[in-house]
This record gives sequence, structure tokens and C-alpha cells, in this order.
Amino acid sequence: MSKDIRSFFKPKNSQKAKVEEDDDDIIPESPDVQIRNKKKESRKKRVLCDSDEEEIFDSKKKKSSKDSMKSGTKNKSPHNNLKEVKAADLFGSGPIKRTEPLVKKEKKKTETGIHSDDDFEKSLLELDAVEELACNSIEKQPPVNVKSPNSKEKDVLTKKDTPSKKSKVSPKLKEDIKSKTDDFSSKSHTNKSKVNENKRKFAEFIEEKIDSNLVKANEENTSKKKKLDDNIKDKNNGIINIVKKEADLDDSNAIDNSLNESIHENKKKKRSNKSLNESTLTDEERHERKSYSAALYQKYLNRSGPKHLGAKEIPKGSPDCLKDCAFLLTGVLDSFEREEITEAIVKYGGCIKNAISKKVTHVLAGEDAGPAKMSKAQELGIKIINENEFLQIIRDSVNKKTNATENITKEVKIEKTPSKKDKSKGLHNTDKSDNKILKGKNISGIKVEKSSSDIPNKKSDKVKQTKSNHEQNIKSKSPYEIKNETNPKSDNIEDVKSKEDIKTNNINNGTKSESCESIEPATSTLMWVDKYKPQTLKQIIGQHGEASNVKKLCNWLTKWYINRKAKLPKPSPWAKNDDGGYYKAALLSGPPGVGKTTTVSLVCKELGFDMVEFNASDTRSKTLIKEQISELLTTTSLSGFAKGVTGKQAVTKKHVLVMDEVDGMAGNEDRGGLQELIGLIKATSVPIICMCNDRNSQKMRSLVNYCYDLRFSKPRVDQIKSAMMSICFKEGVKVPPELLNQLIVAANQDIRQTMHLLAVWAAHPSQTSSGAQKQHTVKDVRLGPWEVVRKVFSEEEHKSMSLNDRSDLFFYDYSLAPLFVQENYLQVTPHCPKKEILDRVSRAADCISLGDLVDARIRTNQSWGLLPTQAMYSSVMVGQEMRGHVAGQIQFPGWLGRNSRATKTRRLCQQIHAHTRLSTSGSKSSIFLDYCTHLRDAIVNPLIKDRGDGIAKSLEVMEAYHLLREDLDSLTELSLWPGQRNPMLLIDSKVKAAMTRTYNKSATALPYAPGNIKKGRAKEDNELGEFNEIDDLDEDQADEDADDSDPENDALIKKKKTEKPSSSKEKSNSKEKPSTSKEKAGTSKEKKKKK
Amino acid sequence: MSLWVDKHRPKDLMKLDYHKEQAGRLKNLVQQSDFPHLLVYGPSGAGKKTRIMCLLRELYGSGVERLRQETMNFTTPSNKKIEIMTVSSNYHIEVNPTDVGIHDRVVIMDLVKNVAQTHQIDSSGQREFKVVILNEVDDLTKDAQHALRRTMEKYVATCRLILIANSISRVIPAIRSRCLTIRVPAPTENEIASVLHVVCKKEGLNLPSELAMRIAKCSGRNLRRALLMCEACKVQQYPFTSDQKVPEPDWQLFIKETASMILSEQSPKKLGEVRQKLYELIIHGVPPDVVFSGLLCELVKNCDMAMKCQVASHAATYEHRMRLGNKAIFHLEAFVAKFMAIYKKFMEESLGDVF
Repeated sequence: MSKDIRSFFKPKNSQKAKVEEDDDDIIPESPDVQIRNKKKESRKKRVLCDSDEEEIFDSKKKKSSKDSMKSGTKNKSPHNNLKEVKAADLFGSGPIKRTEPLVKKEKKKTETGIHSDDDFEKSLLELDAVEELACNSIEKQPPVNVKSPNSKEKDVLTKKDTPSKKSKVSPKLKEDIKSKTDDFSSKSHTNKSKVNENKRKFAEFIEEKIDSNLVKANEENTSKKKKLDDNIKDKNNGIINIVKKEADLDDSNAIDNSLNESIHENKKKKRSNKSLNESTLTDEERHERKSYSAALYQKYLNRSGPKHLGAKEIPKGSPDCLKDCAFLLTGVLDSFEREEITEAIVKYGGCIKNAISKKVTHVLAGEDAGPAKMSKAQELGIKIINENEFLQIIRDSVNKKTNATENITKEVKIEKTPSKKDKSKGLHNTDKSDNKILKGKNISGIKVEKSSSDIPNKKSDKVKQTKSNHEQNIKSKSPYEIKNETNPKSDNIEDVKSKEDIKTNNINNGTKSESCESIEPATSTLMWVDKYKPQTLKQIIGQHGEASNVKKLCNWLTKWYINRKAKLPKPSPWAKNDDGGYYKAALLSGPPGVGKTTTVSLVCKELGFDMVEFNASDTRSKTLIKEQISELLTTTSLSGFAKGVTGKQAVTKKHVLVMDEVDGMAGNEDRGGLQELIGLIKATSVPIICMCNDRNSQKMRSLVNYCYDLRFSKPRVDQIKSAMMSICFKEGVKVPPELLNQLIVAANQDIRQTMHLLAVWAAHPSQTSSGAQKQHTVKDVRLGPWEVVRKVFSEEEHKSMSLNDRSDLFFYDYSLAPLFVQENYLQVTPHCPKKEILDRVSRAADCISLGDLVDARIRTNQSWGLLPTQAMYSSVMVGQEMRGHVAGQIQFPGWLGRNSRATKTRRLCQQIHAHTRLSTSGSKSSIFLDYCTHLRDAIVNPLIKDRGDGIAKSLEVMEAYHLLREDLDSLTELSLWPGQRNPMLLIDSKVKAAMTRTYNKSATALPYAPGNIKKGRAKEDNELGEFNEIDDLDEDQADEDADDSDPENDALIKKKKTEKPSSSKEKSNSKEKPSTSKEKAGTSKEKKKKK
Repeated sequence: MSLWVDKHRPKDLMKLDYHKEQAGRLKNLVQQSDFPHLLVYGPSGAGKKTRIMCLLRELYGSGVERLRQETMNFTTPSNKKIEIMTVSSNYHIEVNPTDVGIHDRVVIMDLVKNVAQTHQIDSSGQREFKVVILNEVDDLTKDAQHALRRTMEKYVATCRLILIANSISRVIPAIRSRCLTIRVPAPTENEIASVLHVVCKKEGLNLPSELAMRIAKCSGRNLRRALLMCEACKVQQYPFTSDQKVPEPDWQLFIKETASMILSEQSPKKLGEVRQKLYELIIHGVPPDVVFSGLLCELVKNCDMAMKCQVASHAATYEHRMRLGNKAIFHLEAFVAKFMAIYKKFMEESLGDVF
């Protein structure tokens, strides 16, 4: 038995540590683990709080340890105003029962003492004032009046845990359970007797009892099943009794809560039982499942879209009506796309889970629902609903809303605080609004749908239900029962809790904006960006980790002077954990608005360095840097600087030169500035910090080699979100979380811009609806061609993009885009049935070919007005046809390389054609297609066969075709196909050398000027650069032209001298040629002049 | 030692091996000491150039065989200097204006004007006109062709133009009407075989007639190719045997390989591989239209009649687009993609019928 129980505990525990946001996770922590982890956990939490992950925090945490309470209070803040604190959370905190009241007083004294954090203390003081403010604001804080009487108790609450844990150091699990069950029996008695008493006192009493029992239990050290069972039975009776009594007292809400809870627990039990079973699944079963799922996957690939897409509309529900609901979508819905449903759920405050787990409250199943998911859902007892039921839930929420006389929205937002307050005050009327809330809980928590009116009626049924449940599961149930039992009693505590939450909010405010608030009155007109500028290193968003840039920069700066003496070697560029000791300068790079400048200024402030900043607004030319800054950096001339030119920037001993926006150092103004800066870095005696946006830009190329590289990446959305939330709270602006998300994403995670957007939104929250807002605030980001291609083909992106947006993708780089698209469209996996794929590919290829026609028209006629047409053909339509996802890596267009290779072969061919023109008759393409292989063979074969003797023969061929030695190489290049062996390799190298020698010796007359080769290339280059400017080339060419006649003739004359008398008519031709050609040239030039 | 194809090129109109009737007519034409502009067209390897050279020899005597090469320089309106290699004798000049790409118009205007405006110095023993031979006229840009129109009329007294083209379909009608068009059809296989026999006899070799026919067939009625192949055969194996392997040009093999790839599998991945092959062909200078026709010939072998028509019409469409467009590979690929889609559907349907 004990083993069983333990197995329940363990998984829960780990889960708890991981996923704290889970609402219905009410399982008490196993004491062992708790104690063991206590220290660690608390530390962890502190880190968490630093990194602003506030929303993950759960109220439960606070109870678990002192430290966490502190951090919890700090972090709880803005979120709680907006999100419900579930009663379940508060009820479910097991440790409360096991507390020791004795220690209370002791702790009270040290109330402020515990908190080592000064900020916190301060904020505690401020707390009251702020709180009152907050409470007065109509929206949020009704329970003001409860605050003061309960304030004491809050303290109690916060301190309870520690002692309880101490007392329980290493009790065995069995004992623990036993002790607990003892507690129950006693508790139930007390309950009976004291039902009419004030609940708070009641709870305290129980606590005492528990404690004594605990001690007792430790002493006894005996645990028998029977006894346990008996206890549990007792306890159950107790529960029923209590329930009845309390029902008498009309405290129906409380009972209801407890009932819900208990049912929930039972379900939990079942679930955990099942999970237990599952862990013992056999291997064969797994194997079976595997093969089964493979078959399912095939089915999944071929499944169709919604059948009646758009047949239904998502009804309007009250906002947040799906709060606390976690949905899992599976299968294809009848009339909605998955995205639509997702959107709706998120809109109404629900959340979507990807995998089935206990947190999932509803499984929304469509056609072809995944059987694995369904079966698991059934196992876990999760409600499986279909589309219509889902819509009904939303519709119901509206109906309820209209029924309720009070404004429910408010109520819902205030979480359960008001209802509980009522209870504790002893108000016996169950007003409608309360019912409402409870009902909402029912839907989410226990999945029993009730209409608001019949709650009381059903209660009695439920009592029975719980009873039977209990009896069935008695054996393994004990830990949960314990909790159920105490739930009604913990109402009071919860009350306190809720109050505490408010406090923590305020505390949070206090700490966060502590320094700002002092300035606030004077600077009420400041922009938010300046108003909430981080004042300490901790406040910088997203820079908290050990490996964060802030830390690195701090380290680097503190060690700077030491490192200078140490003379460290230059680290290899890919060394990990480089602390930058070698570098004299640091380069901070990252997108705008992530806090580079802020980081630097705060780090400098923290470490006591004086910042001397030069940014883009200062002229930073070579001379200026040389004269002014280098003076500043050499310690000898410091005093002069301090008194002289810029008196404001008084320079102390420790200072830092900050070159902000170094990538802006360009243009005429700052000419030579970067080079000078590098020189400066080499010789500097103070640390230099440079900042830029794009580290990879051409301008930064030289600088990066001298700098310690610190790259800032964009903070995550949730990091920004939490910070923004706190700001919104301080400003008293209520921003819907989803809108905030949109804003952050729209600003491309740019903190600065997000704040600006928020400020604008806050100014006119009513004017801009969330939809319109989204459209207006999308930040334009420049994309590289790679991202563009990905976007062109991604189906996901298409959904949020209009036709214009998509054609805009083409214009990021209209000369490269078609090439990129053409190169990569075959790598896309289109989302369509398999047999359609080829069709789509061919249509896409067709579009690309049409796009090329438009391109040709644009380039030849300079009709750039056609670019949008090309965008359609070359990018949008291809993307539309191939919409899906890019499966492979995106390639750089191969066309460019291939094209230049093709031009090269064309050039070689033209050369050969020109050389062989006198003896051949064909056109250029006939050289490619027919001559080149045969010609090559005619030359090479004799060399391979006859070796040295073949030289004469092959030279004869070359002579007949007036080929140069270089032409032989071109010929082999032209005629070589992939997979073929280069015949030149077969020639013995000695033979080859001999051939070259003989060729050089016996060089015959050529009918053309051999100098042409180079000129030919130059000409080709010009041809290639058709669209380029040719001005530069003109001069060279003119020179060449001037020299033209002389070298040409020289070459020929020389040749003539060495010429062999054997050659026939060619010789006579060449003899004639120089003169005639000269004449020709001369006459033609004259003609031109005449014209 | 030249290759056979150049070594045994006939130099006299009356010594031509085929189209003798046409040769006779040309001779008559020239004997009247004057002739209009000529537009000689026909497929590659049919003997256009050979005929023209014979004609010129008839006209001017052996002086036209004393050729020389020289480069001429031109300046484009955009102030770009271009130069072009010309081949000329005292009586004629031959240029290949397409060598300079899109600037061919300048070449046509300047060169033709230069030549045409120069009168012969000693007109006594000579003809009164010079001859300008323009190669690859069908590849001239439209601008260049229009520039040619006026020049042809204006300087008809001092120069005659002989235009050489593969097909007149891309020569503008205005030019066609100004010329006497002479079609030089490709020799029949028998004619090729007889030429081969003649050449072999001159070389002192014995060529089996079966081999001659096979070479002729393999050459695609291209005499140049046939002669080159024949010589390659000789290098490969002599004495000839009738069942000797005739070496096909590498690029043809490559196209066949590509076609069989397309037929073997139809998928985007395969298309990607085919693209690489097509690139390879283009890099090696195989004209894209040759690739088109080569592919079509191979692919169509595996199609039924209805599909043949469909595929051929698609090939025509894409080849047309290729001519209008810039990047041949796009259109080749589009054609292959189209064929793959059609062929796959066809295969699936026929398989569906079977089962």
C-alpha cells in the first residue's frame, strides 16, 4: 500500500515543480521531497522572479517556503489583477494543515527582518498607500475591508510552513499518512463541534491539533492498513457530517466548493491510478501501438479539410468565458478550420494544449480524431465534446451573463475574492453572481455542466456521490481526502491569501518602480520609455542569466585592468566561455530596442565607471578621434581634457569610452573614423565599448576582430510581456493580454517600440480595436532573401498575408527573388494530396517561365512598370501553387554560377571559332556540337598513341586549324562531360612538355593577331556587364586601342621570322596582311573622321 | 593536316556532290556578272557556306581564297567600344554580327556602310561591287535587322549582301522580300553516304556501304557531322567493319540520359536532378532549342498518339517562351515539369485500367 501511495506522490511532485501554472493541481507535496528541495527551490525561485517570468507563479508556492513567499509577493503583481486566482489553488495547498502555530510569534517579530531585500522592505512600507489607491479603483479591489482584520493572519500564514517542515524532518511516508489520517478523525470531530464558530479560529485550532497529532505519530511509529481504513471511514463520515451541518448554515458556497473539490480529487485519483497502470505497459503493447500509429499517420496525411467550412459561426460569448478551460483539438472539425477554433478559444480566455494531459479539461474532437488522444482522454476522464457542444459552451456564457444582474465581467475578473469574502463575513445569501462563478468553476474543474439555478438542488445529490466515491476508493485515497476535508476550512486562509495577492501586487509595484516614483511627480509628462527606464541591472529585460550579456560585460569590465597586465593570448574564435580577457574593447551588437545602451550605462554605473559617450550625433571623423578621444584615453592628458574642451564630462580615474552606434560611422563626416577607432583600441588604456546593430555588416568587418563579441538577441515575448504588464499596472492602464501579445509581436520584440505602442494605445484605448491595432502597428522589418523565400512558400504565413503583402515579398529584392524562388520551389512540400503534387509543380514551373518572359520584357524595354506583374508570376503564384513548407535548406540560386560558367564556355568557343574560321565553315554552335570533340581527338590521340613521335602529327593539326596552345586546353574543357575522363591526363607529362616546347619553337604564322586573346576577354567582360557602367573600361580600352597596331604587327613580324618555309598559301596571306590591315584600319578611321 | 570535312571541301560549283541543279542555277546567276542580295538558308551541315564560297570563286576567281582575319572596332551610341573579328579577301568581307551580342546593330550599320561606301579602286578587271557575308542572320536582334533594311537598298550599287541563316522564320519579312532566297536543304542519307564513299576513296580507304548508311542515319542528315563521325570511326577501328559502333556525339548521349531520367521517375526530387543535367547541357553550349528538340524526340517515344500531340504542343509553347525570355533553363524546366505531370497522370490511368 505504502508503495502505491508513494507512487502517486512522486510524479505529482515533479510535475508541480515544473508546471506551476496549472490550476487544478492540488496534490500536496510529499514532505520528503519538499524538505530536500527546500533550499534549492527557493533559490531557483529567486532566479525566476528575476527573469520576470511572473505568470508562472502560483499562489501555492508562497506557502511552501519563506523565500518563495518573498519572491512570490514580488512577482505576483499585475497578473493577479487580471487573472483569476482559483479557489482550488488555495484549497489545495496541503502544507497548511501541517503547520505549527507555536512558532507564530517568533516569526512575527522578524516580519521585516526576513526580507533581506531592502527594496522589499521599502515597498512594504509603501504598500498600504498604494493598496488603498488600488482598492479604490473601481475595477479591482472590493475586499478592502477584509484587509485589516486579517492582516495578522497573513503573517501567520506566511510563516507557517517553515516550522511545519522542520518538524517533519524525514518522517517515513507511512507514518506521515498515518498521522494525517489521525488528523482527520480529530479534525472531523472538531468540525462537528465548532461548526458555528468563526472559521479562522477553527482553522487555527485544527492546525494545533495537527501538530500534536504529528508528534504523536512520530512517536508511535505504527501503521496498519486496517487502522488506516477505519480512519478514513471516520473521516468520510466526518465530511458528510460537516457537509450537512454547514448546509444547515446555508453556507452553500463553501460546501459546493468542497464538493467540487472532492469530486475532482476522486477523478484525479482515478487518473493517477491509470497512469500507474500505464507505466507498466508491456513492450508488445507498445510495439503494437507503434505499427498502429504508423497506419494512422498515413491516414492523417490524406485527411481532408473541414467539410462544411464556414457553415457555422462562432457565437459571441462573454469575454473570458473559457477561462480555466484547456482544450485539446483533435481530428478535423466539421465546419471550422483548426486555426479559427484556436483563435476563438484564445479570445475567450481558454488555452490550447498540444498533448493530452491532466490539465486538459476538454477534448474537442472532430472527424478522424486521433484514437490515441481519444482513448487517453477517456482514461483520464476528460470530457470529450464535439463542435456543437463547444459552441454551446460559448453561447451559454452569454445567457448566463444576461441572467446575472450584477456585472459579471467584473466579478469574474476579480477572481473569487468577493465570494469568499462574503462567506467569511457570514453572509448567507447565495446571490446569483456567486452561483455564476461557481458554475464556471464546475464547467472547468469537474466538467459537470449545471445551469445556474439548480446548484442548490444538486448539492444533495452530490453529497451522495462523493460519499460513494469515497467508499469505493477508500484504500488509496487518504492524502487527497485530507485535503478535501480541510478545504472548507481553508476558506479563511484563502481570504487572507487573496488579500495578500493584492499586497504583493503593490509590493511589486513598489520595487519595480521604486526609483521612478520618486521622480514621477516632476516627470509625469515623460515618455514611458524614459519614465520606466531600468534603474538597476536587475531590471533589464531578458538579461538575468549567468551567461547573459550583462554578466559578461560586468566581468569583462571588472577584470579589464587585471587582464591588461596579464597579457592573455588571443583566444580562438570558436572558443566557448570566452570572457574576452584578451580584448581591449567590447562590441555589443543586436537589433534596436533590446537594451544595449541601457545595459552599458547601467553596468558602468554599477561598477563605478564614468561613461564618456560618443554617438552618431557627434562627429567622429579621423581627426576628431585622433585629437580629442585619444587624448582622453591616454592617462597623461586626462586632466587637460577634464578641465578643457568638454567640461561636463568630468573624467575620473575609472572611465569607459562608449562609442554608440558605430555602424553609423560612415559617410564624409566620419571618414576614416573606424580605422582610427581600431588604432585607438590597440593603444587604449581604458576600456572601450562599441555598439552596433548589425555585426555582420561590411563596415564592421574590420572592427569585430578587435572586440569582445557580445550579441544581444531579442527577448522573448513573455519576458517583455511581464514587464509591460507591470508598467501598465503602474499607469493604471488595463491592456488585454492578447492585445499586448500582438503589440509585442508587431514591434518585433523591440522593447522600446512596444512601449511606444502601448503609450499610444493607452491614450486612446477605445478608438483602436484590437483588430485595427494589429494592422496598424506591424513593424516593417527588412528580410533577407532566405527568409523571404521561406515566407513565400509557407502556408502558415499566407494566412495572415494579403495579396499585396505577398507580392511585397518579391520586392525585398526583385532581381534575386525570382532566382531564389526558382531554385527552391522544388524543395517545398506542398500541403496537398500526393497525386496533386506534380500538377502543382508543373503549374508553378509554368508561372516561373511566364515570369521570365515579363522579366525579359522589363530588361529589354526598361519597362519597370511591369515589375508587379513579374512579382505575381515569379513569386506570388508560385508560392500559391506550392504553399506548404520548405522541407530542406534554402539554397542560393545556382543559376548565377551556372550562367557565368556558360558564358565562359561561350567565350572559349567564340575564340576557337575565330581562330579556326579560315579552315572551317560552321557557325559557333557547330563548334560546340560537332567539331570540338573530334578536333581534340585529332590532336590528342597521336600524343597518346605514338607519344613523342605523335607530336609532329598533332602539331600539324593545330597548325592547319590555326590553334594556339591555349586553345587545346579550351577544347578539352569544352568537350569534357561529367563522368568522362579527361584525355589530357592520359598524355604522358613528358610528352606534353615536349609538345609544348616544340610548339613554341616551331610557332607558325597565324592569320590573326595572337594578342587578341586578351582583348577578346576584355570584350567579353564588357559584354557581360551590359547593364553595368562602362565608363571605367573606356580609358583602358582607349589605351589598348592606341597600342593596338604596334604589338599586333610586332607579333606578326616576329612570327614571320621564325616561320617555316613549308607552309603554303597561309604564308602568303600573312605576308600581305600587315600592310593591308593597316591600310584598312587607316582608311576606315579616315572615313569616320570625314563623317 | 586538316580533318576530312575541311580537307575535301569542294571549291568549285560544278564539283559539288549534291543539289547539282541548284549549283547550275547559281552558276548561271553569276555568269550574268550581277546578282541580287542573297538569303541562303538551310539546316546546319547542309553546305550553305561551301556553296557561297564556290559562288564567290566563280565570281572573282581564286583571289577570294586568299583570306585574312582582322579585327574591327566600333563604338556604340552608349560610348562602348566593341570589336569584332572579320574574315576578308580583297573582294569580300565576312562577319558574324551576333558575336557582339546585343550590339550587333552597330556592327551592321557601321561595317556595311563602310564597305558599301567604298568604291573599288581599280574597277577595270574587277566587279563593281564587293560582297558582304553576314552569318547567323536569324539570331540578329530586331533592331539590327531593321538597320539592315535601308542599307540594303541604298548601297545596292556598290555591295551585295549574302545573308546566311538556319531558318528564315526569324528573319523579318522586310529583309526576306529584298533578297533572293536560296534554300539549301539537308542532303538525303543516300547523298551523305555517297559523299562518304567519295571521301574514303580519296583517302584510300574502303568503306562498307552499310556503315556509310548507318553513319548517315546517325548524323541526322548533317554532312559535317557525318564526315567527322566517319573519321572518328576510322580512328577507332580500321579496316572498317559493317557492324562497327558509330560514336554518337556526347551531348546527344547526355540528352538521352536526361530523357530516360525523366521517364524513370516523376517527382519533384527527380525534377531537381534533371535541372542539374539541363544546366550541364547549357554550360556545354548546347543551344537550348537543340535540347528541346532532343528531349522531345526521346520523350515522345514512350507516349501514345494523343499524348504525343499534347507533349509536342507543350514543347513548342515552352520553346517559344524560351525565345522570348532570358533564362532558357526556366522554360526547359517548366517543360520537363509539365511532361512529368502529364506522363504520371497517363501512367496512373493506364495502370488503373489494368487493374
